[in-house]
Amino acid sequence: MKNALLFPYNARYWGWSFLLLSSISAILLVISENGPALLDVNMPALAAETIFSSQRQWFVMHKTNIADELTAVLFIIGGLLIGFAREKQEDEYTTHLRLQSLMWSVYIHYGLLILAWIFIYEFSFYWVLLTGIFMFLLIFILRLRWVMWQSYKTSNDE
Amino acid sequence: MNNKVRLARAELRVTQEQLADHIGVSRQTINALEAGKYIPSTLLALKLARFFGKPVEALFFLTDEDGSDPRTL
Repeated sequence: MKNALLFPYNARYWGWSFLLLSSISAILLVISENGPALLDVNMPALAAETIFSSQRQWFVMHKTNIADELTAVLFIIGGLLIGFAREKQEDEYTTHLRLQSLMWSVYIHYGLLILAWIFIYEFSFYWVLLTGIFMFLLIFILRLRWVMWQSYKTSNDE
Repeated sequence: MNNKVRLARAELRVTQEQLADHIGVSRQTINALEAGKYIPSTLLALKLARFFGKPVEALFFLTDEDGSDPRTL
């Protein structure tokens, strides 16, 4: 079964490398709270608004440290490469497992989000929004790899 | 829906791997299909029927869980 929307099989190795690298970077950013000064740059921003100023600016050059941007982009690309890389033998069953995992991910992600909306308030909710961005991909990958592993294991026992 | 693919495979003395290779799917697919964990597409069901030289209905059949027989309507 041909699915043009999938990445080549080897893309998963790049994906895992990106995911590992961005996870380490994220931990370092949380600990240090700031990225290296080397990454302080002026970025073209579509919109920019600081916490202390209610005035939103559109289409401006915004001075920022891009360590968190690079980390997030690397994590998302890594996650997509892992989740949507072709299996060694891609067929309709692997497509079925992938779609099922996506459904699982939607249910769990939004289930957790509902709980967070009800039980988490003020600035703590910022962390919910931040982790929520990555949680969907993470749940999808974990569920997909689990069912794929189960599938390989069961057929090897045969 | 249930199937008799395992039985048909045993009659021909064909392994899951040989069948999978011939049909162009993975061994995991044949395994899941025989275990009733996966309902194949029409295309795959037809390919299996052609491989075993049997009509699709001889390999795949509806069970009570699939609802009423449309012929009774």
